[in-house]
Amino acid sequence: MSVIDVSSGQRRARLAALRYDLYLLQKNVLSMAGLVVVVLLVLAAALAPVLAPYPADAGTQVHMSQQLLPPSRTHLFGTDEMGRDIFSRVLYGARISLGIGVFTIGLALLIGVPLGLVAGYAGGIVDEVIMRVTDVFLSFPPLLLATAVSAMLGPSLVNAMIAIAIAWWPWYTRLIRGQAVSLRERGFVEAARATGVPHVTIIFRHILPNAIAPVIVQASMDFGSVILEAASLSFLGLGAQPPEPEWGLMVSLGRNFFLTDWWYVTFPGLAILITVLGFNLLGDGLREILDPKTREV
Amino acid sequence: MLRYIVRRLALGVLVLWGTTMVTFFVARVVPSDPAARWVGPRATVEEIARARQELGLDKPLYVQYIRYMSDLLHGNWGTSFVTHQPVLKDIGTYLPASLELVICGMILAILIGVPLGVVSATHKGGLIDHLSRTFSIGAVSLPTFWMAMILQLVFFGHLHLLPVGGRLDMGIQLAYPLRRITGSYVLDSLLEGNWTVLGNSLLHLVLPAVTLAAYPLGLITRMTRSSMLEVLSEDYIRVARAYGVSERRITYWYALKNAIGPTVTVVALTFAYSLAGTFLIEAVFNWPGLGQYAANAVISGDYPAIMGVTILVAALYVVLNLAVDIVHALVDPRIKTS
Amino acid sequence: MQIRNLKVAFRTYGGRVQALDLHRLDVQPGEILGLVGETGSGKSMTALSILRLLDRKAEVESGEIIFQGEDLLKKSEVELRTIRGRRITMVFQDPMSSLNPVFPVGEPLVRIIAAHQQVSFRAARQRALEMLALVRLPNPEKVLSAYPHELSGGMRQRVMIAMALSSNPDLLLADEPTTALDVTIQAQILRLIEELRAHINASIVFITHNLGVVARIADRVAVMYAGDVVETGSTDDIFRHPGHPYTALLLQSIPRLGQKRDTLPVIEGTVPVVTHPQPGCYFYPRCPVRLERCQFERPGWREQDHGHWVACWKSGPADAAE
Repeated sequence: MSVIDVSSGQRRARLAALRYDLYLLQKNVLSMAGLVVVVLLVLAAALAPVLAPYPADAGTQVHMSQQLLPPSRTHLFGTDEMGRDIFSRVLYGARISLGIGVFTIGLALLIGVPLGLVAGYAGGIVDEVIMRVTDVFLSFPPLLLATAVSAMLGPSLVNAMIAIAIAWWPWYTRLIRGQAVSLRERGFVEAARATGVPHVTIIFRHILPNAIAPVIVQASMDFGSVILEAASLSFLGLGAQPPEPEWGLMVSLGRNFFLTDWWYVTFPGLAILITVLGFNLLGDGLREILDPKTREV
Repeated sequence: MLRYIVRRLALGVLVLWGTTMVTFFVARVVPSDPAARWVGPRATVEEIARARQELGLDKPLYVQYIRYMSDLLHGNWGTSFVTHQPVLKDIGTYLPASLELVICGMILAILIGVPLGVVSATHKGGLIDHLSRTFSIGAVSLPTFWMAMILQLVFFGHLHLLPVGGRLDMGIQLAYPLRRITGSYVLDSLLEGNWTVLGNSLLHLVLPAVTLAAYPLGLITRMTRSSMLEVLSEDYIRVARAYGVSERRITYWYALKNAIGPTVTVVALTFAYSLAGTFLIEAVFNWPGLGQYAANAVISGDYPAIMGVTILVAALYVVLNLAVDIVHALVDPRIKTS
Repeated sequence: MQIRNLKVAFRTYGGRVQALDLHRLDVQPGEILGLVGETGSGKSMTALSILRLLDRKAEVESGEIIFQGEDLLKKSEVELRTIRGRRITMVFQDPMSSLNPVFPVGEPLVRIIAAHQQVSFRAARQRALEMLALVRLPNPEKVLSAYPHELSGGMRQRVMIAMALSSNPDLLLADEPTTALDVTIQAQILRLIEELRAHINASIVFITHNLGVVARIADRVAVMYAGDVVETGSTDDIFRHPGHPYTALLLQSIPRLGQKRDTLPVIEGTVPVVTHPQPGCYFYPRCPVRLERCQFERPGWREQDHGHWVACWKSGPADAAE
């Protein structure tokens, strides 16, 4: 954003810093494990049609003669009460989960970031109003709010994602507002105003790129939590609807059988656990790298 | 100090008021007819119209809101469409069960989490540290409903050690009737010396409380660890060492008092979070608490109940936040004077 | 106390760093030794090594620190705890961060006195009040129950000094005790130390980068460079007849009132980051009078004058006792 030329010395310094960051990341075994999990998830989602032995089972295909079979070589995770292969459905569920993460967080950012930027930059009464509204939203326990909203909108996966985004945006607003407030005082903002640059341009071309970093970090760490919330909503019946192979929904359906047919509930739930764990581990490692206090020099 | 409390309280009231407004108007926007809900599914048009008049739903929105607010402040929190009982009474019936569950879970989480975090920090890089870090991130990533079921599967289904759900065995409930004092079976049976009920209710508490404790445990361990690590690298700790103070005293006296602040915040926040999120656990364990009541209300559009529960939870959030601020001010003498 | 061949190194991301390669340092009983050097010369490291308070990443590789006939480096943690705060005490640079913010200032003071002198809390409290009065703090009662943020910088440092002297130690390590204070307070604290000198029979190692402070308060001076002591002698000797080129340049670079100059004199180059112990003199790259042999052979201490030792080939005859 600045017109100052980056000397080769600065470039070298930045490369060295990047190499140091990667070294730190790699040193942390747990984060690497998280990274591996996330990569596997993406692969599973992308390659589901190829990897799944019974891809049609993820849709409306049923095999009533093969209900509730325990795990075996032909059905790695067993089958459900409609005879569908659970392994295939879990693989397809990866697509849904990834989509949930991207859509929900994207929506929350879309709402929260502009609000926070405006609040932080404008200050005064605009700031107060926006922050009070944010506080009110924050005073609701997130899961409760999401449940209430999705109940109102009607049970569907899309509505659940919207509901979660509605519960989530205040965090980003608060975060980026703090950044905007401290950036507002900086020299380059004053300079831009003095040369008559309109407010909107300042906000989006100057402040946004500098303020967005912690928000990006937080958002990538939120991936796991969002997937978890969506699964919880689906478990309650407010999210994904049958026959979608969403993991939370599968656990919910498996509840009727789980005391006798343990695999139905176990494997989708395990998928949720490992996915969320992976994102959390990765996010944790990222945070340790970026937080100057925990960096080991 | 008093001024500090009053100021925070005023702010809390403001937020609470905003919450009532938002909930009220949002609930009114819902495309379902509360009058029809009230009367039931097989009502005639006239009955619905009469119900609408009775419930004051024909008045303009702001009038309804004012009426609602004044009722609220007088202790009339409306009547549930589902149970046809006053909402406040319903809350009184169901809240103790949830509180019992959440308090037990939180106590468990604190008793395990704080020492674990401290030991993790003092033995940084050791085996305990790695294990507890993995464990705490795992605990935070668990889907509660799934964990609940797995626990049921293992401890009830396979090992037959613990009951699958509910607060008491049916038989015991009938054979040893319990007088209701606080609504908490554990406390009431303790107060009456009713040991059978005490034992049985504790048995029923184990699985739900453990499930509930998982998430707070993860957060508390992590926060305590990181807070302790920060404090242990401070100069005054080095000074204490330079004067020959024992590691034990340094850790549990000089360092912990500084480090406990963020942990207290986490405890309060997760307490509120758990209280609001109990409905998942209550659903799986068939625990008749506020969570189930609220979930039901949401699904059947019972909005006096929804309003009541939401306001209660929001009020609890405000009170908890205030309590956290006060505890912080007590522990850290620098805060009062700022 | 005698320190011999102390080698301390750090493990960092960029590699290994040799923080100390200290061949020799002596502290005589009852004297104030000024330990001077630039930032990074290893002065604080030396003090921390004596009490074994080093960071986890630092490692004492070899050497001995003889204190009252025993090698401190060979002592166990338990044994060290009886020495720390009792026979050897330390005052740190920043008095604000040296005091625990959530405890009244008296709490650690009383506790330490009670523990080290094996007396009851009541007696300890009494002694604490005496010590606070000794360091010229007005209203010791109030100070005892005050929190660190309620006291001024000068008062806090006096409390730390009181703590350091409370057990009547044999050795007091003062790591830049006045650097964080403003000049007038600095003068007060120095005056306090001078006045207290008569009451205590401790040796003091006064670490600082401020030559002016050293000139005022120290009996003898040791000059450190790149982790080693390069010159030691009485204050008078050092300031009037510096033997080591580094010392001479340091003294030259102090601006003086009444001087008319366009540029301040500097020492060319920068302090090296040493990764491994080297056989030659560490000052070689910047030394204006260096010889060929300086690069490969480090001179031991050579006696320039009585009690005045210099680690330089350009100095007097070799030290026979080396």
